[in-house]
Amino acid sequence: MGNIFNKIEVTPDHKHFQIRELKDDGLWHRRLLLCGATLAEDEHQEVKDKAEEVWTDEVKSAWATFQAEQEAQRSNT
Amino acid sequence: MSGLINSAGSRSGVIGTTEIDYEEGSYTATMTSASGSFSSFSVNVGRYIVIGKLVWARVEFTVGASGIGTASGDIYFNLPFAVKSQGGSYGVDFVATGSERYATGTLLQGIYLTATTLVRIKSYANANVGPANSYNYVLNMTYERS
Repeated sequence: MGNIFNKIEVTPDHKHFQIRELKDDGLWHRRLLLCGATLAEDEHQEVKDKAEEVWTDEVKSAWATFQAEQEAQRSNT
Repeated sequence: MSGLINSAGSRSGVIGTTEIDYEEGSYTATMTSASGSFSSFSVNVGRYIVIGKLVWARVEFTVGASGIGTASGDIYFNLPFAVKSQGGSYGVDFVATGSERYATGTLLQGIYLTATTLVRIKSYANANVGPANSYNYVLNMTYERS
């Protein structure tokens, strides 16, 4: 992680992470992590802490269920 | 705010007025397929502008000369911000547009998958557009973020 961590936003529905970082050139950079994503070893500590706090088994399970339902609907269209 | 430290950004400096939340920058753009994976592709552009809840983003990918790898089926691009939930399996209120520029010139539509961070890429006629070696995909997106 070469960029400087700036903030993390958690989406209201499935708790995806929207991460904002500051690059060396002074411009913003965004990354988006899906709920339950595997975090890199060198991930910002703030992101690791937030994942520990927010991505509970219940939340991850709800996201997995939602994805499966969506996929089933798409297969039928 | 522009992201530039000490730059003027978008703040008016007028106390008591409603400030517009403005931001622009790059994002980590990725391309995936419904099954398998690409062995190589380059991200030529991945940038965004966000004004309040309105997001504009542009992304461009080029598949390597032998970059298709095991990728097959639909192609997906990721977004800088999650798209707002709209119910149903597609975010049909928002459709992005683009083209495959190097091989076919096909006009593309990007269908936002509701409550996710992905757009599914199809041709204007709802057909698959690759994945294929050396294809170049460009997509301009405008949508409401979550």
